[in-house]
Amino acid sequence: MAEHSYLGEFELMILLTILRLGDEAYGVPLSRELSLSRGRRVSVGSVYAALDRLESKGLIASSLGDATPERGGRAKRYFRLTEQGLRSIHETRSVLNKLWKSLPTPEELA
Amino acid sequence: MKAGTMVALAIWSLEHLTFGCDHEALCGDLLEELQSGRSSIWFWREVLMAIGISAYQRIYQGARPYALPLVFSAGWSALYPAWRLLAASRFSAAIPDYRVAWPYSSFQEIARGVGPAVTFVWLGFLVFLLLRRETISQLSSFRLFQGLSASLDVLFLATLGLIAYLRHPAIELQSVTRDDFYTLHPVFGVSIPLAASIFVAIWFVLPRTQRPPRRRRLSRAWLARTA
Repeated sequence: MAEHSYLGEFELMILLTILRLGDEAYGVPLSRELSLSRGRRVSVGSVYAALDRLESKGLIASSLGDATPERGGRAKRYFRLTEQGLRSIHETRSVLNKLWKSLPTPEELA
Repeated sequence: MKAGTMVALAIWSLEHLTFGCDHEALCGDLLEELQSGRSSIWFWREVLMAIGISAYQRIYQGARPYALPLVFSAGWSALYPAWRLLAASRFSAAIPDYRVAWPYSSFQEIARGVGPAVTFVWLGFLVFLLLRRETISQLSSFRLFQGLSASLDVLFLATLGLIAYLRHPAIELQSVTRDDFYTLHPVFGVSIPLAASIFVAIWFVLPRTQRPPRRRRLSRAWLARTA
């Protein structure tokens, strides 16, 4: 049987947000989008911790942009999904879809 | 305190208390948010969160490679009573019993007492290396020597410590030859001196992690703008 590594909830949300943001996927917009999606504050530090983890797994790749004065001369780090990352999202969705099918409706429970 | 100084202090904390992580981009993102109207309290909260997350990751990732050696050392040291029963008496008998005057007779006492324990520790070290063959492939003879030597140092220190503890203030070398010397005061059947000695030997041969790159300081011009 092939070995799979399925994504956690936060990791999956980050990958999908990177896809949604496209070329503008770096720390600040990622953190804002995730805060909006989850309905609660998401710290930039926790986003970076997850991004580092995803990059070490080979699911995303990063590249440095230009340094700007409002960032204290520090460059933006842009993230994009790798082929492996996209495959991982599809695999996770497929597994979750199978599991969702066995979810009873409130009427069935009553 | 001025806002610029507060920010500089927060950046300094982020760069120096995140245990070597490269947070160049994170710093830039937080500064960008600050420029777009976020408060310095928000900035400090984010910095403290990042430091906390980094510390947790560091502890988790740092402790993980040592978990197996630690468990192995503890497990192996628990086998020491069996080793004493099976092999130590033969080991002591193999040491020639020359009639020599003090202080040279002390070396015989030490060899009889510590010899079986050293052999046991080094045997455990060898077993660990054979079980973790990928460690052997990265092992240099210098590191092997360091490991063996350090384990000996720890064992001697533990021996002296135990003697001092048992026979304070007069140190009696003969107590080293007692059968249960290294299993006195065990914790859950684990001999602490032996486990520490094996762990130190293994620790010396574990692959080392690379040092992180140096970081850039915040420019005075930026601080002047923020203030």
